[in-house]
Amino acid sequence: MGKIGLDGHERGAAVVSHALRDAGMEVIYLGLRRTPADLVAAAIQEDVDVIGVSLLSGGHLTSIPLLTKLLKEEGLDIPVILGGVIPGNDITVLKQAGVREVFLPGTSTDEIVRYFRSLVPGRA
Amino acid sequence: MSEIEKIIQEQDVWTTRVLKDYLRANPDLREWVTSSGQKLKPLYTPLDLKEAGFDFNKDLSFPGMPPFTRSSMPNWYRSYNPILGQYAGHGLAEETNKRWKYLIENGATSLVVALDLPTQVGYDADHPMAEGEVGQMGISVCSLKDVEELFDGISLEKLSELGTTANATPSIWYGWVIALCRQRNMDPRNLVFWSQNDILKEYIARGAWIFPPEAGFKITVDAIEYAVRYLPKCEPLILCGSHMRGLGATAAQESAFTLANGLAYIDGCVQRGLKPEQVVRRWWAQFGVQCKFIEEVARLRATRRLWARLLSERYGLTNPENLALRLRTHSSGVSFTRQQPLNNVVRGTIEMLIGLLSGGEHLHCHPFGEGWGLPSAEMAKMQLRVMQVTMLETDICGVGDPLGGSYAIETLTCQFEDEMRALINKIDDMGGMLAAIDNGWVRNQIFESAYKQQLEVQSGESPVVGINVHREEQEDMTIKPIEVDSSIRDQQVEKLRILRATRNNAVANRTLDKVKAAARKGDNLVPSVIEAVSAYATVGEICDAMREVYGEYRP
Repeated sequence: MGKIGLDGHERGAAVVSHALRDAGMEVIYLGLRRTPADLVAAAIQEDVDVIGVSLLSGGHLTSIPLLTKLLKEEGLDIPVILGGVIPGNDITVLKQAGVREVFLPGTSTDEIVRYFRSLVPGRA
Repeated sequence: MSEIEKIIQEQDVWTTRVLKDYLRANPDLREWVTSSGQKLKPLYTPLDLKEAGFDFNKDLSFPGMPPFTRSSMPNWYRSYNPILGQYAGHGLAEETNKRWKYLIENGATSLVVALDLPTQVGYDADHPMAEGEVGQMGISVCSLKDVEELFDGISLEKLSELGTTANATPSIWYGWVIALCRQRNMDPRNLVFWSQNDILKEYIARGAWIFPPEAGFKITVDAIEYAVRYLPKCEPLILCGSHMRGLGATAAQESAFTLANGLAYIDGCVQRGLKPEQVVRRWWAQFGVQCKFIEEVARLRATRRLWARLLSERYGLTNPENLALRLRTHSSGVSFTRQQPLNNVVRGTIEMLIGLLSGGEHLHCHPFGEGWGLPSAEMAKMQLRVMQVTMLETDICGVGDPLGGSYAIETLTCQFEDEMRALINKIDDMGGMLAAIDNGWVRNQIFESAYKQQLEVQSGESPVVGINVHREEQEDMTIKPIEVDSSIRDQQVEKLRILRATRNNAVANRTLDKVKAAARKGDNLVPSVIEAVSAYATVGEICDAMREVYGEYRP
């Protein structure tokens, strides 16, 4: 779980990570100021099942396609889940760029936990 | 029978008979707890004040007098128009200049310059880390050239305040303002302006740091020292709680951690050779308030009182001018929902009321489309209207501290003061705030509170209209946020190219060497940075000079 770019609003990422841990998942919390390359490197090193990204600063249309591109180049089929302040119109674009799901403000952590579980059937 | 004895007797009747009988058929509809988990009582009486040890003269007294429970304003809003803060700016200088002029036409007198994130963390628009972020969360300002465009046609003297959220780069802001003043033949010593300067909260909750904490702290002390010595009207520090509150802190934690940061800054300045009384004048403390009206008013009053007492106890300060803490009350973006966004106008109004009834000298309302993106001009104007209607059409501004003396408010004020003091004592036991931040304790406390609040919303314990109650499966309203065209990055990059081609690069580079030298020697950085700014050195160049000496923070 990490935040891409310069924005420091961490509450969503922290609360979701807490909920995922409470649900028995292991969360590698990378925090602030990560680049897409950082997330990919950590994903490889830690052999993760899912990548969670928090973005509130408006840079999602640049960073997220870059992230999914890098994953593709590495031959990795790891789902990317995005949360944050994302304009509704951009969700389709982001999914076309390879994001599996986008969670907007007001979503419950129960829903997010359920969704993450569904990504690794038979495991969680 | 004395008055108190009679009250005890009558309260007994009320509790064991009148209320008890009534509750049988009409039980409480829900639990009521403060954000810290303390239960609210159904009623407060003089007995509660007695139990809290409340004394009018010690604990309340009069406005403009210690312990400043009743604010620093002797005549509240009868004589004083609170500053209505307007955090505004996005894209490039030209567009923001237009937005500012629009807001000023509609009654805004404060300009809190919203700088974009690259600018705040010392990257020029052409830096790889600025990719996707130029002009998004604020204005892209790379050099004095942008500043000149930004303020074109805007009179600095007419503003009630001019400030910016520069926390890692206060000296650059000082440089811009001083250079602008010089260009306009204005004496910067006559200008009321500020840089937020609260670097500790960046490491805790906001994230706009550049250098490792020790260097960051030194840079803040540099700015405070420079302001104290050379800029009599400059406000050296805006102590910020609102970002910690936004991250998840409870009201009591927000206040306690904020005051603890304040104590750490004073100690840092004392080590520099300044006297506490030189340093604390003209400080502000900024808090994010949420809709729990009664507890917010109580804890804000408690915060002012506790600060006055701490300064007196720890530094022996007695001059009332040094003990008064001015408050900036902000609405809380986290209390605003994406769903049913018009409800946020109501939330903003409640939060502004809290500010007015607590005696805030500065109020700031967030735009109602907070959960959707950058506000349109009309949405930004609405922020002003909320405050204008509240102040002009109610009679709140006709009486000083109208809630003072309320049994509920005064009892809760005492409780909050005790709770905040206990937190500060705990921090003392850890070795002070710098240690408590360094060992992760402060952030852990805040994250625990954030998670607890999330569970309370999800369980329905904490009602939020549109989220866990009165939800609309089909929402009436969507908001199209302002989009900042990503091509502005290219525009800004081109401007940088022109700047570097037209300025005197030899002079600019010499000033950067001086910044590096000052940093190596441990001198106050502000004078050399002012020179660099005036030579049109860019934000990135100046910060890179410092990075060479201090390195970058890696959390």
